[in-house]
Amino acid sequence: MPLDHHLFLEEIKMAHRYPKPLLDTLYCLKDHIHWEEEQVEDDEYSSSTTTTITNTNTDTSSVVFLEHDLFWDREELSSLLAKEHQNQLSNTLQKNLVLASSRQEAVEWILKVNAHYSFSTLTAVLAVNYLDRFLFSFRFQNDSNNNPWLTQLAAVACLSLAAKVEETHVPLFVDLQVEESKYLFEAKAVNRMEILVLSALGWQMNPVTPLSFLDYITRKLGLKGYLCLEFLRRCETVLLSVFAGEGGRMLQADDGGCVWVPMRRENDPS
Amino acid sequence: MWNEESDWIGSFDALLARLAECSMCSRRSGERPGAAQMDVKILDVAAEGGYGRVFRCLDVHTGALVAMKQITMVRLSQGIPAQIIREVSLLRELHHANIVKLLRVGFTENRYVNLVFEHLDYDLHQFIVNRGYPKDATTVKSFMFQILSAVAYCHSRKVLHRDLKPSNVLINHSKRLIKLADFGLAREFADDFLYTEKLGTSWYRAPEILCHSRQYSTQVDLWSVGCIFAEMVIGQPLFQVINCRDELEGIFKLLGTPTEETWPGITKLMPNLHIYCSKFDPLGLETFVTDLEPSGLNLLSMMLCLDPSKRISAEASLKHAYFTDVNWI
Repeated sequence: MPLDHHLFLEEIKMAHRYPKPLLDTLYCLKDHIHWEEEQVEDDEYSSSTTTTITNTNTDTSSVVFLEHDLFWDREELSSLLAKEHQNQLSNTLQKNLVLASSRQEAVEWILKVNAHYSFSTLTAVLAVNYLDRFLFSFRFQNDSNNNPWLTQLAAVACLSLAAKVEETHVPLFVDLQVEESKYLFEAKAVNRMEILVLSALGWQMNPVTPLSFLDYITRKLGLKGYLCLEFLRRCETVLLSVFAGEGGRMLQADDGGCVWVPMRRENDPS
Repeated sequence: MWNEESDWIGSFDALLARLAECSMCSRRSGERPGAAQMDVKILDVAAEGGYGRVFRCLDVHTGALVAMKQITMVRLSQGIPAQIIREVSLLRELHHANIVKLLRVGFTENRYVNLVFEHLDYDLHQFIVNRGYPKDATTVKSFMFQILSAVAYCHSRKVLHRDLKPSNVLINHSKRLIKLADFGLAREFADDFLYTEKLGTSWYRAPEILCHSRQYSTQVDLWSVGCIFAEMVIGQPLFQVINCRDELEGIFKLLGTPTEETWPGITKLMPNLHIYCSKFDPLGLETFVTDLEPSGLNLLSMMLCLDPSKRISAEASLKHAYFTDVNWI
């Protein structure tokens, strides 16, 4: 698939499903329906007014920062840096072109499924993080060379795990494999791969990511309301583009800082 | 086709066997336990629930008592339950004297996840029900200080517990030491919370969750801690005492129906709020929570504050006057 075509599709999907930046609150129709059902069931509430979709949609566009959450800790940045680990897969990929190729395909697949289900940017970032750490743990295994299916199976497991950590609704394994791939894995195989990945990563499923730094930076800048949302949306778009870019660049957590500089310049009122 | 599939399974199982001895299971050099072994000897079943079982065990290396939580993975189509992944990954990063220690994690036969924890004698629910609630003020204060220390630590690490209740507060009998447990509903918050399902036991659930707010934050834990605080003083769940059709009604009966003045934004959150209007003037906390010193009642009222943005934080609670005479920690 041509790169610009891919990015175009990405843009279309994001445009049609209204933006879902890190701080967005997604209105869940299911909850709304449940609430209405409760009102109908109780006669005493029969005269009540029903919440309209319009009001709810308006409400979802605002983000409430509680004062406590705006407090930033001087220790936070240094603890993020201390917790961060170098992405150790880069060197391995330079010597193993077969693995590099299958990793690139796996990353592209993750991004497509992420967009399909409107998962958050953090889910995509986590999934790629898990995949890279997992592939590194196998860097000396012959199996990686001989079995490109292993990388794709790992990608399915990693996206599933990331969705479980971060999303409220996680599709079944079969439903997760919506985008075309050379392989379609049955639930049993993905289940066992999840076990492998969790064990290989030592169950450390909340790594420092670029988004950790963005979260810190927005609070440091004191961005609120629409400006905060716009800033984060643009940063997230840039991060996803880096993933999708030529060569599937390894993303270090503190790349969040590099993204910030051009974004800030763009956001300044001229 | 057959050969290819066989190759998958063969190499797959080989990888599984190697990785089952992960870093958490193989910390001691020269000792590499098998996949199916958790290095424990089972003594008896301590508890059973929908998730699985908790066994009381002996650690075969140290001889210490440990608790092994065994979760059955019943749905292959969904793999490892999200709650387990969250609990383990967060506990792997939380190191605090008042948070239960997770010692080991392993799998058995691809059907069970086994979590081995340090053992504590009983939980706060059992303490209240079986041994009579802590009658002396010093014990209540000590327990509260430890609970708040753990909660403040979690929040500083951007972790919400979301299911704080007496049965998730464990107690070491001889040391009167408190440890928080069961982080299965916990998650790292990044200011992007969506209401998922009814979280936590109803008597300990914050009003903003009961109002179906799609956003909530650290304050939900402080409400739960306030409910635990009251329960330690009066010996039963606070909102069980107030007999009502639903939890919100109980809360409003006790604290008064909120208005836009007392809780800005409440009319948008609860368009049907008028149903409760003029029905309830506050009964007041002091009506039910007797035998608590004035500074304790003051702290409790700041925890059981309807407006989440005005509710006291865990960190601020630790500096409250109620704890100024704390010199036993």
